[in-house]
Amino acid sequence: MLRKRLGKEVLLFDGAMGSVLQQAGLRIGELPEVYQMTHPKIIRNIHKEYLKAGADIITTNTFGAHPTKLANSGYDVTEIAKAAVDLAIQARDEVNPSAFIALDIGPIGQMLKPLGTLSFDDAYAMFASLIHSVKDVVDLVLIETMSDLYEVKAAVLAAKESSDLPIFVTMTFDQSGRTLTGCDAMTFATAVEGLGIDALGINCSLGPNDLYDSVKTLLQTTSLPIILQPNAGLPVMENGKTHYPLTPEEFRASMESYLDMGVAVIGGCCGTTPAFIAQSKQLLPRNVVPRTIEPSVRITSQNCTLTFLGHPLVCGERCNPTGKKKLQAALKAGDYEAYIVEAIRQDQAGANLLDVNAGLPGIDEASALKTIMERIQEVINLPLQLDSSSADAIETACRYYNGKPLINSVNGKNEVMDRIFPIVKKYGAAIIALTMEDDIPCSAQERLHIAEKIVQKAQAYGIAKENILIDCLTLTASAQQKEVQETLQALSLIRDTLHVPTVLGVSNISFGLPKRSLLNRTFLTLAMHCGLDLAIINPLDQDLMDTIDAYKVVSYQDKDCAEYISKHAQNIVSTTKTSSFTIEEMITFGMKEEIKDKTKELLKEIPPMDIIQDFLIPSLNQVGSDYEKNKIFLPQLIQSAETAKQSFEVIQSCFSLKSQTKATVMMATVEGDVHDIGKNIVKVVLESYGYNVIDLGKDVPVQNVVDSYQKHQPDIIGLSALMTTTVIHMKKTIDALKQIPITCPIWVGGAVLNEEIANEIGADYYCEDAMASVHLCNTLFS
Amino acid sequence: MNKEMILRYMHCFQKADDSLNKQIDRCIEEVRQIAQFKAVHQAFTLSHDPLTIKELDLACDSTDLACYFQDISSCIVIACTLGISIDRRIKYYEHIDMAKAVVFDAVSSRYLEECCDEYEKKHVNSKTMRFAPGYGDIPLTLNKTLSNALRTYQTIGVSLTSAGLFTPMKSMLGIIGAKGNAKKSCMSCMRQSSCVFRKEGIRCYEND
Repeated sequence: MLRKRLGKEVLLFDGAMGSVLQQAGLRIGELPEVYQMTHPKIIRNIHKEYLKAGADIITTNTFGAHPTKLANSGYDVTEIAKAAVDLAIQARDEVNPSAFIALDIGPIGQMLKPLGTLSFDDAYAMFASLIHSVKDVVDLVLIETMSDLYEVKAAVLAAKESSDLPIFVTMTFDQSGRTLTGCDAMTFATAVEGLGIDALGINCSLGPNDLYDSVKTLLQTTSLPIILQPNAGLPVMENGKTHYPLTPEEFRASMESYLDMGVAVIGGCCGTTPAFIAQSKQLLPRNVVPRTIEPSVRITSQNCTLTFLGHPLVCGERCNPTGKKKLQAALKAGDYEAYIVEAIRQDQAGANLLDVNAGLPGIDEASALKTIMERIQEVINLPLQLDSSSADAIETACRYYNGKPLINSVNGKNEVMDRIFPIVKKYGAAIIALTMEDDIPCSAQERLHIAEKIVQKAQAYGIAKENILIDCLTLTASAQQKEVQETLQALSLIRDTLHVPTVLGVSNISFGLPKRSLLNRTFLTLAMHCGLDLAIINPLDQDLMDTIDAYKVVSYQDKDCAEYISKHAQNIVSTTKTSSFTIEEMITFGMKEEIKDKTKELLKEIPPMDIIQDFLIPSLNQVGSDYEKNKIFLPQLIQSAETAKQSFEVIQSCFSLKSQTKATVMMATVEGDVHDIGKNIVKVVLESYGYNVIDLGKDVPVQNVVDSYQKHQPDIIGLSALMTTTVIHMKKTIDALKQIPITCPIWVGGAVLNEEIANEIGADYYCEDAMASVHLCNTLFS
Repeated sequence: MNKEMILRYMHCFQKADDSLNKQIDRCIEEVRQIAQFKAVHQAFTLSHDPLTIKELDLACDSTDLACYFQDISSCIVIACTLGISIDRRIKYYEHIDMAKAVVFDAVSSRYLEECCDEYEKKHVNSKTMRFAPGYGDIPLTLNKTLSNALRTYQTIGVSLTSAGLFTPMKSMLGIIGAKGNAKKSCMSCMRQSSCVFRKEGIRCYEND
């Protein structure tokens, strides 16, 4: 019934619950959900007032019904939810039996991992348990006042997988047009519409007059019905109390203009009362104003959207273990730092999105891809292209990806499409489709046929054409020179016939030939001219990136050559002659880049171990001693350490120094603690001295430390914690390690620790800073 | 921004050299660009013996606070943050340039303090310093109750982990005496006898 009316006639929600309850006597800091257990009549009356004012949908008093918020309240989530729904039902039965009841779901109130400590799965479980408890007696699920897109995804998946109820989702945007975690309206609509919800929109934070831009963006981005539930104006403090400036009449006038734009569901948030809803009711009944949406191909990260507009975009290809020993080693060891560094370098080089591939025989690809993707998303805003031939890995990655992902890839084989398309549909992803079945067809025409077949089959799965990109497949010139032209022709043919974006992995063209960069950029230029939308390339290849800038000028995409001039007007020529510095000076001054060449130069004449013993270690000792005497500061110490580390890496890449590697150190910031900068400083300095550091990261569960000890058998374990509240977890970790029992010592560090606390919690050593940790390790392992 | 204080956050009590100075300048520029300072405050009345926030029926189990607020009848609680982008950028640099991450972290901490000072000047008639739970004997658990009362998650995006840490990391909550008698001076600071800054000849306040 609701679904029949939604999007056709304008529907009216109720207004605020919390601010009305405060007027009725709810104390500051008191939970409305707990208040209702002692004051049920007040809640029921508020529902009745809203229904009398004309609301089509009333919202249960369950905004904060999460175990995190109800802890110590004496009530559990199910009890609260059932009581809240009962009150809404009683009110409905008395006033308007045809009204709908929305199960209200607000944010959990804790930041999700990786920046917080609440896991996606735990958030999902909290939402699912709330929905399960009352799903049979409510008419829809309203997920509202959200500011974290990831939390929205957890809540929507919980709702989808727990019930068939209609799902409405609203987020809260401030004056910058973003939520408190940085998500904008276009990213929200693009990422969430594909998850199979019924309506989306905006609530809270601002008054209706301040939300014009965000509402307009939603209306232009998605064809789903749009909800608007603003506050009664932007709240202001008056005499220590919150005041909402709009009158019900002003609110109505403003809402009317939004209905004219095509908004389908209206209602009120903080500061609104039944009087506001009664005024809004005067605008109804009316039909939803129809809109036309310009079809666009879009993918997103958690806070930005990438739209394919016909300009060539760059997908960084380097987070892929094929041919990269460092990444293969990272996958085998489960230490993904090298991946994150590759991702950041490509981000800095100007890539528009990044391909991530974790395929390596013998590893758990799904788990590796998920972890790498999460860690990249922790620091980088670019959307990701999830690259795997395993349906399991793709499904896991899609589930945990924050945003709307691009999947790489399917091909024209039915069994592959039948495996992958349900995942694309469920998670609202976009997909790259390869124009091949068992083999790559030679002619452009045949590739078009496969592309058409794929688009058709996708549509049968309910996947719109706007979610498909076609890879025309680059053939290697050294092996199939004649067919290279067919790839280029396929680009134009598919662009003109199917009107979908095209993709190529460019560098395959030059495989097996000399001067690959020249061939790559020549082919790239021709491909762009034939309509290539997405070039999967190495963005660190400056020539290739420059070629794209130049192409945008000559194709009149870079108007007035603005982008080209801003990037290329100043040709930076390095004037510093660095070779005059000694390797010791380079360490002292932190010359990270220059030391690589210097080390290579020295290696021609001096044995590797002598470079370490005679140059690197004495220089580091000098820097360490200067730091301890306050002659230099922490950033300089770290810079020197990072510089020495570069030199070590050059030596290690030229010679196998395994027998010479110092002890293995395993480090972790303990469970519950996300402050790990101190641990990371110690890590860098220890690595500069040649120690092999296994970094387990931050917020590491006790069991993970135990398992990792058994896996890596380190020579020493270092644990860090910032606050007294997390030192408890440090003790638990030490206790668990000692129960194994371990054969290596444990040292601890962190802001609140000292010798005494270290003893109390059973640690073997305490170090107050990075240099003290180096001295400890040098003493133990000399 | 006060660069001397930024250096102090990195435990540097001497003048920075040219390259560190430049690094600090670059970080200041970047922090200003990406930080999204948000703050919220609320007034509360106090009763004494034991020190209690009346509206919340919350006893502040702290000898230090009871001492500094003995002649204070109402307080303002401020919560503020630089937003999650700063946390993400610190992590970003930790992966590729740890030295810069350390400077960036210190600059962010200082920027938060200075933004909060500005906010306090604009909105509060402060009679005391800003006391944050965790300093002296002010219990950390106050953070939770006060954050809930100020609805910091909804208003400024600040939450507490189950272990009591703020997210975003560059967030803080402070209690300021607003009505009554007290003065801002070094002698009214709870760290007066153990202040590491004073040992180095550095002062936070002009008056003793």
